[in-house]
Amino acid sequence: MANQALLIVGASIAELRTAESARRAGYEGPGTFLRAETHRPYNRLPLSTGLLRTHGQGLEDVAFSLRSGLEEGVDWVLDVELECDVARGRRW
Amino acid sequence: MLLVVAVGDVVRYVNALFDSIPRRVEHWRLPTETGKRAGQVLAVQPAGGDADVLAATSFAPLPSFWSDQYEANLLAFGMTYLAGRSELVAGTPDTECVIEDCRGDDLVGVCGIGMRSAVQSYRSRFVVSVA
Repeated sequence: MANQALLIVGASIAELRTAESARRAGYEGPGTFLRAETHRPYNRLPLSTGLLRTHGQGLEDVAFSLRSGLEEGVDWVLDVELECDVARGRRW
Repeated sequence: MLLVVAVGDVVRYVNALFDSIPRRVEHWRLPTETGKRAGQVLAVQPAGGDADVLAATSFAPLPSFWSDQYEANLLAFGMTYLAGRSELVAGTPDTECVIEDCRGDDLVGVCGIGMRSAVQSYRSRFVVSVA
């Protein structure tokens, strides 16, 4: 189906792994990540331990590398806030 | 067709390893495990796959957690809080030990202080039972 598109709300590890898995499972269409943060996906686990103890480190030390075909065909819409219209959603 | 899936700590799901009750499990591997599954579900139809085949495959990630508290290393598998009884099966809590957690006759969790290889060996004990 050529008109399929993948819209992903959020871009933490769960959403990133979802997109990677879809690619590995054969999804070849476009993907768009919507995220409130200004950064692309990064590993949060070191934030409370290693990163705070070490000077001179930053995003590049915790950013997840893009793999499984997410290097291309993916749009990153960062620094956006979304609202969920539940009433409207029920009409789907 | 609009297909919506949810992933991560916010979702409830049935884990075929235990029963058919959907539960929310905030567990450190669950964002990855639910993401893998969700991606397969999202991809199966656009890729020309058979959704029924995937749907028949149980979602059965084995929960685990660990914590290193200075010299004490805690490691657990399963869902220990489902247990009606817990039994010390090796060692002593003062040093190192293994504790089995059971619901009825079924093993639902195992937890160890130290004794990592013994605790690891329990992983194969968690299997999806065919009703």
